[in-house]
Amino acid sequence: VEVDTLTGRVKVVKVVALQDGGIILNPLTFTSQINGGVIQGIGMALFEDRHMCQLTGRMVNPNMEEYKIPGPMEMPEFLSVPFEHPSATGVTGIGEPPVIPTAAAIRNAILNATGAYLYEAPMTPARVLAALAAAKRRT
Amino acid sequence: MKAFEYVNPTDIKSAVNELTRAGARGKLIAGGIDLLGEMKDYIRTPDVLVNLKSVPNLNRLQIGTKGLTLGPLVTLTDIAEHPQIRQTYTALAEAAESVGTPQIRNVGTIGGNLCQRPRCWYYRDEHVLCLKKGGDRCYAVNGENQYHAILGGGPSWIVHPSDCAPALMALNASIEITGPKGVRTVPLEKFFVLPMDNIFQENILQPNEIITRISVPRPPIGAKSHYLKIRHKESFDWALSGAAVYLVMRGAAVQDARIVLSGVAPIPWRSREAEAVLKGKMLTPVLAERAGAAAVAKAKLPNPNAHNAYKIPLTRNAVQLALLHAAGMTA
Repeated sequence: VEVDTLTGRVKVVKVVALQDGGIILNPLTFTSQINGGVIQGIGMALFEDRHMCQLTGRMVNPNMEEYKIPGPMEMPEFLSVPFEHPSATGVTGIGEPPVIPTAAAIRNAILNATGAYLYEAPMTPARVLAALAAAKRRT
Repeated sequence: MKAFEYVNPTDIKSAVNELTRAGARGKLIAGGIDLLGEMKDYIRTPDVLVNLKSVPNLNRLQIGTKGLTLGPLVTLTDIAEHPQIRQTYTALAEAAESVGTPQIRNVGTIGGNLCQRPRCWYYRDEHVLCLKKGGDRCYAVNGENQYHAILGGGPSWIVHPSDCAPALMALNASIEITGPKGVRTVPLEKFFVLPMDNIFQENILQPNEIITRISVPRPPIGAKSHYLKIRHKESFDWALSGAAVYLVMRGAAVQDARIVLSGVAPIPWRSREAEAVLKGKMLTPVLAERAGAAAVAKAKLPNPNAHNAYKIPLTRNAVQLALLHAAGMTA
């Protein structure tokens, strides 16, 4: 990742996703599934948030404008690697399992790059700035 | 969407007449990007739409020795892709390019961009009757206020959504308004109004008045400008905070400066405090940082625990970064 320490913006630069999908029959489908999962993981890590208003009891962002998902400008370089180990006997399924580790990987990459500990998703500019300020106070 | 009458005037005078006839039931439409969104969400339900696109020659863009003039129907793409605007009126080209998506910029007009209504999610919710819609409270005071104002807020805490307005204001633009009584020209700075002065509108336009021209004086030799928009995501997002800066430099010294903030106040917010820090001084990273601090010195949150407190450091840094970028320096 790249973290702008003045604006709190995080850019995911490259994602390497290693996936055990059994014997890969269709490499293109495999890559698409993995990329799709990674994109959703980026959304979970950095953007998607359901804002509930305590005053009205309503969700204030029930639209594609304010419920933010990654767009074309948020795409990293993807590298999906099939893990076809020699003892694999059959064909298993792939959904979008990279959804699961991607957010945590991005969080740890931010920590590695800046020393900022984040404990909440999405990691918005507001939260990243706060975490960076906390990291600065600690040192 | 509620049904409406669609009128196609062929000159400005008849457009004004149609608007006068329709009164409060009428609305002017150009690109329609903002208005149609409001109509689909039943935020506004006009009976008559007066189509400005049927009036010829309002999409003219002219660059002369005195400056730049834009018809109100010039699209954001026209501005963003114009090489001379990018070179001489840099902040404006950058602001236009930062708006929405390519599709929106192809249709959205500069006049419409200046007249946008707030994006506040309470205002845009059909089922919430907020202060700006005649209700008795601004829900952002104690509600979800992460995108709301830190300067000039109260009693409504909206932020002005325009990117082009701060850039144009930094470049000292003025606008020509045509109405039933004729034509008047006002500095863009006097165009916008705070909610404390008028809760129902963000500018001085009467329902039967039309922006007919935007003029930007040619910047002197040594002038530089830049618009920095900080947003959560790069593909289609509004400014969390932003800064349009205009500098006239003599060597490394700042002769003149105008700084206008976006995304932090109910109007494009000119920061004279930040300008005062700069004038007559040598521009350095330290001075830029001090200007940023001055810009947010009077920040006021909707409540002490508001979710938009992050905008204070963000705006401070935006001013600093924009100044250094305009001057060709790094932080």
